[in-house]
Amino acid sequence: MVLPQFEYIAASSLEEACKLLLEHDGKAKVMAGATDLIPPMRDKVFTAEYVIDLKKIPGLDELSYDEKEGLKIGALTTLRTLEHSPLVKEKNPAVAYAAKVIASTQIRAKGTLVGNICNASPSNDSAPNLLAQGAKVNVQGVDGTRVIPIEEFFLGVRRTALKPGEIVTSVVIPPLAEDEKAAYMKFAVRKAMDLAIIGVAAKIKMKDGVCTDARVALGAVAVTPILAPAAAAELIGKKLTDEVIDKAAEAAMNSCSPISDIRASKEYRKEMVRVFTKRAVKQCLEQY
Amino acid sequence: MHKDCAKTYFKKPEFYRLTGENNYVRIDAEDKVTGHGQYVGDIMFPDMLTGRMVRAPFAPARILSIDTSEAEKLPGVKCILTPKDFEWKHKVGNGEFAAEFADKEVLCTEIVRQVGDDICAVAAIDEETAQRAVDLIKVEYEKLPGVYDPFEAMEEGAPEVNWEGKGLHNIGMQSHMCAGTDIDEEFNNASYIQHRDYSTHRMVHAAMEPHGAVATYRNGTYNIWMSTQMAYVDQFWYAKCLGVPENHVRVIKPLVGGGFGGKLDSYSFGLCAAKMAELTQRPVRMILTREEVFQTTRNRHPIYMHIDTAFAENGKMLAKKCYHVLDGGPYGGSGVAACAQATLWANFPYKLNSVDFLARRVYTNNPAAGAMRGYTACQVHFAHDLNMQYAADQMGIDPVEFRKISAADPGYVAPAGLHITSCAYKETLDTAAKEIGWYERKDKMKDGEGIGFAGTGFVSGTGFAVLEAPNQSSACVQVRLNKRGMCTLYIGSHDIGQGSDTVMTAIVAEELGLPMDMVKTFMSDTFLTPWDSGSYGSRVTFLAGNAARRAAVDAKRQLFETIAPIWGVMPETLECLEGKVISKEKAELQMPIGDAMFKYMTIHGGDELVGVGSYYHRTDNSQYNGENTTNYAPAYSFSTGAAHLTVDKETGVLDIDEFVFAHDCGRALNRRAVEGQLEGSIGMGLGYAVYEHNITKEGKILNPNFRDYRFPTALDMPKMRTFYDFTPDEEGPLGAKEAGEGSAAPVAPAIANAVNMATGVYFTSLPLDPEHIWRAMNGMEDDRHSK
Repeated sequence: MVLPQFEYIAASSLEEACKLLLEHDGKAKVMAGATDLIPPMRDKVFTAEYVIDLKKIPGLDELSYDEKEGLKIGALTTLRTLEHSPLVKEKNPAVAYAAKVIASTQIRAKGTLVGNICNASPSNDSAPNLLAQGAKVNVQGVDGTRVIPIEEFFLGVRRTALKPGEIVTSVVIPPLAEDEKAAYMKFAVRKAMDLAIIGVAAKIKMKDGVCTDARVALGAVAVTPILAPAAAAELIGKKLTDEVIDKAAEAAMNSCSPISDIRASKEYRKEMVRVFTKRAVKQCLEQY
Repeated sequence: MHKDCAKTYFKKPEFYRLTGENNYVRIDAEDKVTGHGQYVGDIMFPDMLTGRMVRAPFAPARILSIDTSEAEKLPGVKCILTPKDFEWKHKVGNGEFAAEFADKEVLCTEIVRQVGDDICAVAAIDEETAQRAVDLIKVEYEKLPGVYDPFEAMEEGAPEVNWEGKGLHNIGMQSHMCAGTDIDEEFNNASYIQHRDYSTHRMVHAAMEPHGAVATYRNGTYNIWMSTQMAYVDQFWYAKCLGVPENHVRVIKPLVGGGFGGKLDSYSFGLCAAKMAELTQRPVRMILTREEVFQTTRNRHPIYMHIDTAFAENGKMLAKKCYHVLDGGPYGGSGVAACAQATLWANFPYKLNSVDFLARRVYTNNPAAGAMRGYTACQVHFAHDLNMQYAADQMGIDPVEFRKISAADPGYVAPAGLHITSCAYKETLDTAAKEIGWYERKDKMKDGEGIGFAGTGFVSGTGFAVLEAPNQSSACVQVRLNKRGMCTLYIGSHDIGQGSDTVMTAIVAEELGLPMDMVKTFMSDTFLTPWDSGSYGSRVTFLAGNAARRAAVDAKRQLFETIAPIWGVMPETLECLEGKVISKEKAELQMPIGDAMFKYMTIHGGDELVGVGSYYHRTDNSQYNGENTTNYAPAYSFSTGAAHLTVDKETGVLDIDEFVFAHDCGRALNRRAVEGQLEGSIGMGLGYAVYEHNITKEGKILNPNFRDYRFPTALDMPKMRTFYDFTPDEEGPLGAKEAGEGSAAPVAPAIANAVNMATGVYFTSLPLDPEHIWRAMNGMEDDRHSK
């Protein structure tokens, strides 16, 4: 396949990038790692007359942790960086793990977490953790900045809440308290280089053997990654026995209606949501 | 040379050095490791054009019109071929004896039979321009009713795919192997009979290098650098389709990045590159995209197999009937022999009193199937080995013992005419059983744990030469020695990545007692090197290796006949060892080979020394035409695979703890290459068993990329151990038999048998992907990919 012609612009500041994006609204695409941009353009999945590269903009590759704010991941921070960062592994191992299970080493060396969510594929591996942990998305537009809660970020397949001229500058994941644990489970056929058949992220808070808060998020079972509040509700206020976890897993299964495609059927996806919700909650528990 | 003539001068095993010590490296290793090796895609000419094909978006269809006017106007477009450029010439096929049945047009003149069928070709100054020209060519089609199921295709009234009303409806090839005692009587006298059905799916080769060609036209000659397994067969079909004699077509095989059977057909893109090079007087390069490789080259036949088997009370297999239906897609080509082979494998690796095997290759509008590593052995052995396992379980006999009861022995002659020479099948069974820990583990298996075995047999050097050849000779080799004792080796055999150039060089160096770097090898060029029919049928090491040995020995004999009289000894008492000609009887008689050659040339008026060798296995075309009772090959290889695994019963995911592979390849000439082949076979077999599946809808492949066509990665590979030190074959070159193709066959059935044990479900179809296993364990039908 041949890459169609487009104009490549390396923006030197966020303001310039936002202005260009607004000016060429509908005809321009933002590029960070390009791993979800160039292949679909080559395959004619979508077209762009302008590609606005962010890589020359200073400061977008931030990766920091603040006791109050949490883990801040810049738009240019690569998945490979997240996978290997001692900071991420210590403060939020589920995020490091989710980065590690994406595609291949080569792709992770270029691709970014922010790009992964902006591509808004239902099966993206970054979103379930962000949903389960209530992340915030920092956005820059021509008229200033705003924060979008991750729960409001995804609108559909390849559709996000970003308005014309807006660019995601970073994602912030709140800190995990001592009594909070999180996990992500990806289910795919291959151990690498594969898209998730389903993904499940869980975050739980335990006090005196009782679950006081929980969130469960699911990937690849709807047009966007979703939260499964019914599953969380089964966990909150209870001792997490096998029976309780099974009921939550059942609730997660019943709260999604995936499609059948060449990768898996809807009934298999549903059943795997049940199995991996159970395993994700148990993996959280094992960390105490 | 007749195969027995040279044996007097064959080196005896005690003088083997290179292949004995087995510590030499591939002759192309440095080039490949440093990236200097030249594949088709690396060949550059300053004024080279890029070619692209116009392909049918759906099929079947009738072409109503082709409008190239817009594309012609595009600056940079240098040539556009339409069906008119080829319509007066020949269609493309495979075997010369069946040239009149060739069934693939270079460019479709009227009827499009498969998605991606070749319609037009474009050459332009660069790839972008060529692709834009392709997009500008307007082809008007009328959709026609298609047929995508071979059983429906055989019904009267089904759409005719590529069939001109001869024989049975839509059947392109039929093969019936029927021999031995009265089969009805065997079934009547049997104490246990079973009737079972199996099926397999479509898989592709997924060679790292996509198919490609670079062509020039100079001095009335087409020069075509081709990523091919059969340069000489390409030369034959290209000459026919271009309408010129063969002396105007030079096909050169550069390095090839994997074939696995996918590069046996003479594809239209190469022909179009050659034709456009002629018309533009500029070199033309045509490299297929991965999607084109998936959709428009070849794939492994899906086969539906019904098997009836009769056993005696002690578990001895008495007789077998089977009916194999192969989904061939719309074209024959390298796929036609699949039909006969699908009956051949049903013999192996067991003794039978009576066989009645019928195979039909049916035309459908699915993507054309062809040869792929094992050439239907993977499908047939999957079904027939699961059939053995099922019988063992039903009769309550240990599966290893059960296989040994009927296992073939050295010297066995099968009812259908197969002469087995060396055969270590029983030893491979014992080795695999011992190494996988069968006897310690079998009574202590946990829930979800399974061990599976599978035993298979394969040809070592098919006799079929594809093109007509004297005595069906399919491998010719020449060896030239100069005044310094340096050897130049000319081989026609095709190294497609498996390392055959290295083994040919090693065989010649071994016979001549030379270090590897004193043998300079030239290969696979139809104007430069001698005739060789190609890399297929596990023939290269055995047939071309024997030809190379004979050429070296022919040179050696001539040298000895010149030197021996000087020393006053008999020529057959001399040997070449460690760079010298020596007397095996008198230690004081020895001379560096350079001095010996200088002497030879002095005595022979300055003539350099040339040795020639060839090899053939005498069969006839009866295997493809008629009786099908013949001895296919000069030797046969045997394998046992053993898998130990656990099944995650919640997800259907397999965790393969270990795969043990025991392969009877005679004597290994290059141990690292053999291990590479066996481990590669496990990888490809695992892909076939679990991961790889071409999902099609109305003939269109829905996953033509490596994202959705999921072959196993390095992380998915199990722990592997390989065993291959069994009896040397008397006829094999330095004792060798094949080690790269038959070895692919036992992997899927061994895994399937282990899954069966682990789950208690008798699976009868592939692939065993997690959802397939999960569905079966939950009693759900697997209708995910029904047509």
